[in-house]
Amino acid sequence: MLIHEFQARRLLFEEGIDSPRGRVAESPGEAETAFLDLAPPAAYVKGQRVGPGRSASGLVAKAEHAHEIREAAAKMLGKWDGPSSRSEDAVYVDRVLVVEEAPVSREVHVRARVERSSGEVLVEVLGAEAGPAAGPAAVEAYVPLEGLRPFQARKLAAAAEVGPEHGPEFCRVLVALSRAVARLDAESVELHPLALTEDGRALVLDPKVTIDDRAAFRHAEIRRFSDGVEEDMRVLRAKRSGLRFVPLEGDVACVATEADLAAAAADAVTVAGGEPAFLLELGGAVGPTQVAEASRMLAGETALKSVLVWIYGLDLSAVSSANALRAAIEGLSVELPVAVYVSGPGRNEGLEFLSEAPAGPEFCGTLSEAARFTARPMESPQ
Amino acid sequence: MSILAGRPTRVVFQGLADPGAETAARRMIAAGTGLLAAVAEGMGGEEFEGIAVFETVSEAVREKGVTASVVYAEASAAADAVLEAADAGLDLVVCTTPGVPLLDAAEMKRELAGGRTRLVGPGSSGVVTPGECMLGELKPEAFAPGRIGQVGSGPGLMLEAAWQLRAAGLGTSTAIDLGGEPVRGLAPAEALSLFRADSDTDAILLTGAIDVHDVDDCARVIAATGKLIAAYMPVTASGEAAGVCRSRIASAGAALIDDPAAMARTVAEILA
Repeated sequence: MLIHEFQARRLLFEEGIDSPRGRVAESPGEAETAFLDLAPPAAYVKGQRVGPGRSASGLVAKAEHAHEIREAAAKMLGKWDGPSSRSEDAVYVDRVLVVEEAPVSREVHVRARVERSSGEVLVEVLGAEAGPAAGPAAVEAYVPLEGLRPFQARKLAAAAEVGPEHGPEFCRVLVALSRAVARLDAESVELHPLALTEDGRALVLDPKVTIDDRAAFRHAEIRRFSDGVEEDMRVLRAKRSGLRFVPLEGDVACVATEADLAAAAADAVTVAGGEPAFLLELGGAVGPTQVAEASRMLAGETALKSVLVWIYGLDLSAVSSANALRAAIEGLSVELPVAVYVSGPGRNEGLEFLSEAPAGPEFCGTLSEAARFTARPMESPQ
Repeated sequence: MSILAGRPTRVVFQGLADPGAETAARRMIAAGTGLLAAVAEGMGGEEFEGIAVFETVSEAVREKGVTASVVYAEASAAADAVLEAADAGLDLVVCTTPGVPLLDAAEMKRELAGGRTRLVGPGSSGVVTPGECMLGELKPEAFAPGRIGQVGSGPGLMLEAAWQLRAAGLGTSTAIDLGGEPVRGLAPAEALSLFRADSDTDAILLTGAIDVHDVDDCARVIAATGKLIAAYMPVTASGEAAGVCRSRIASAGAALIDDPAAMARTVAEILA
């Protein structure tokens, strides 16, 4: 989970990593007041949304006067914007950050991330001239709970050609960063960039903190952050009900009892010439509430041509779930062409149970048949 | 012979007190697994289905000579359980817990590196040698004994593949679900190497996505192995990286499957 800049600034501050002074504002008036209170020579207004491309979207502006700050904030607040051009990715910008301009003498890009094959954490210092996309100039690895050793920080400082006037502060920040990864349960923390200032400080100008939401049980304060982070509403809605939704571009819904089967169903639809609209995973232990929510979600999708439902190993001993599933499939097939493919142990009993429906879906003996039906529902005999 | 676990494997079940654990344990017994002990905090000295329950894995090793374990635990307790199994000197731990925090999984991986204990998971639905044993929560009835090794990263496709192999009269030697977590113990390339050395496996069916970090090692093993390998890796709903991984696996010599309905058919074709 990628969190907002203002949230990342606060978390890192508590870990001993400073940012330029700043305030969050929810209206142009608040932004202006923030600027007057901070009273810097110049400041940035930064629209708060997660993901890349904020500068290109006009969500970062520099100003020297209170009225300019107010105007910039007014332009950003209430804007719908996203990291891509897809309208589904756009979110409502409801906060801006007003931060003073720091007296930067040098910028260094630093990143700490969990290395998946060794289980260590790597701190990477990127080349002096390079942006975030470039490879690291120097890397040091450490065990998360122990943090980076001071000598490792000094090696990184030397590799980044950080001179003695900034060295001790730079190293202190690197060690704090390394400890922050473990304390926050972060997947990665990026300081893009870390500014070394004319007065000897090290300030993070744009922090990117990705929190491991699997560890949310250890962090009540971080759990609250997820309220402010946007995702596709359908993804959120599915997650709330224990389902999983993956948006794609086409018009055939792919519903399955497991995530990887939904992905496989999408491939089968593609092979048959159709275009999958999204994956919807019901989950192995699917209950009546999930089924009901899944069918509500499907009913709300207006651009669908057909639905492929793949049920693996239908458990008829879970009576209420099985009944709910049958009712949902029946209900859905009134509106749309639905192909049902049942596989796995208990397949025949499952099929027999589901096909008691008076009118409705097309029961297919193979996945290919189901995929062909959904790809071209009009051509198939009903 | 099978890989990782077979009929003689002496197994301990860690976390019997967890919700759903008893059902899983009963299913394992029904699949023929040599389940000789269970571990549950506060239940030491009790019995479950005629199996002795201990407070610690070390006691289970001392009293019952167990060499493998299945970990059934909450995400917050999974790392402790896996480290306990390693501390007790077991050869194999299958950790079924999904959603283990990244740093906890990283700790398991680091602590077990270079030691005798092999970790499958976290987030693995299990290891099955059909007709002999099942460690985890896979449905044994989906599998038939045979000579195809299965490596997967998710239960759905793995079971579907088993079902297709069974219907095609081929069957499975051993099936290993590596789990779909970002940090996991046994890597796909290691699983392929184990099958490569197994005289009871004629061909290998790989199902599910292969991570970019794992693809080079996999390609090396595939290129070096004399065994036939077919792979189904989802395409449509995966990103660009998945396409790169697919072509690497294909150029190493694996038969790529486009249609998930044709997994067993493709295996039959490469064997012909």
